[in-house]
Amino acid sequence: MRALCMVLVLLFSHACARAPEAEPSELRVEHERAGAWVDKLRAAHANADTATTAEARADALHQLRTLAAQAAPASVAADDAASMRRDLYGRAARLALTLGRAPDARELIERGLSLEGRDPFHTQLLVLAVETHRALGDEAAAREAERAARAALTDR
Amino acid sequence: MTEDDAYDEAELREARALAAVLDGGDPPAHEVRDAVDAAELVALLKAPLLEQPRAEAVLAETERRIAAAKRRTRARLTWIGSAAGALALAAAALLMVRTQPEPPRSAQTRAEAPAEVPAAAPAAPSTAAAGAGGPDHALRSAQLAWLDAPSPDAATALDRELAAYRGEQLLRLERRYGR
Repeated sequence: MRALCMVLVLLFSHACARAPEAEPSELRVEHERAGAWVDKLRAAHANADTATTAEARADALHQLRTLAAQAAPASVAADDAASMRRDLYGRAARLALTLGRAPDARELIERGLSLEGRDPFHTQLLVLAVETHRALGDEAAAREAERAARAALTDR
Repeated sequence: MTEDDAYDEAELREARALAAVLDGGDPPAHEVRDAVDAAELVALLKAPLLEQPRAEAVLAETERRIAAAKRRTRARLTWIGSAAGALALAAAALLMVRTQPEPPRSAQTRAEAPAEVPAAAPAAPSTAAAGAGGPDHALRSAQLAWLDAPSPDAATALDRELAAYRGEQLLRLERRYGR
């Protein structure tokens, strides 16, 4: 009995020690995809950082919107994916406002707010909604957005 | 009743317990001990309380039972000891595996299999849950300042804090998912 237990323990230890090496290739591929997605986020924001002309901003807006609309790789945690997509929508909406495209900004904000979860980027979308509704002349909607933004800040 | 009579009576009680053991009963441990004592006494003194052949048989049977009980106890202790040892070794092995330092990620090792599985990695603490004083504290203040008094300065400060917070989040994602 003692010998059997020892053998089992040794086998168990061996399996534990070797587990990381035995990672299936699909997981490696998923990890690569997650890394590539983060690289794309960096690139899209870097492009927006350097966009000073209307044309460059329109290009950056398109890139941000496209990336925001895409689902993140499966290996990215759902809350991470939703959070970063909210930020992409928010930044795209900011650029749309800068370009005088308030209706586009409103649509982008609504898409971002429809994503699951609450975080500072969600609050930022509500703050942007205040500005956007004012730009559209919808003061009631602006007040409603401001109330929601303050509530979100209080909750945090 | 004389002192000798009382002594004989006590021996008689023990001898009866002894007989119960011999008859296939399963008395409590203290009765077995009494039976052993009585059997020894009978065997040694050849007391007339039980016939000598019967007393010797009782003694032999009692010794056999005691030996069997000892074997069972030893076996149980061995099994328990083995199981406890196995558990301790398993715990130690797990601890060693879990506390192994992550090897440095050179460019070459990064190209190979990642040491951690992203899907199984524990979720990073939510920054939204960090509350006041957390990493989003400055952003929160800037958002509140803009809501209280929208102005170009407030908007600039908000953009700056938003960029800083975004940078922190991207860095966190790179650490977690970076290739």
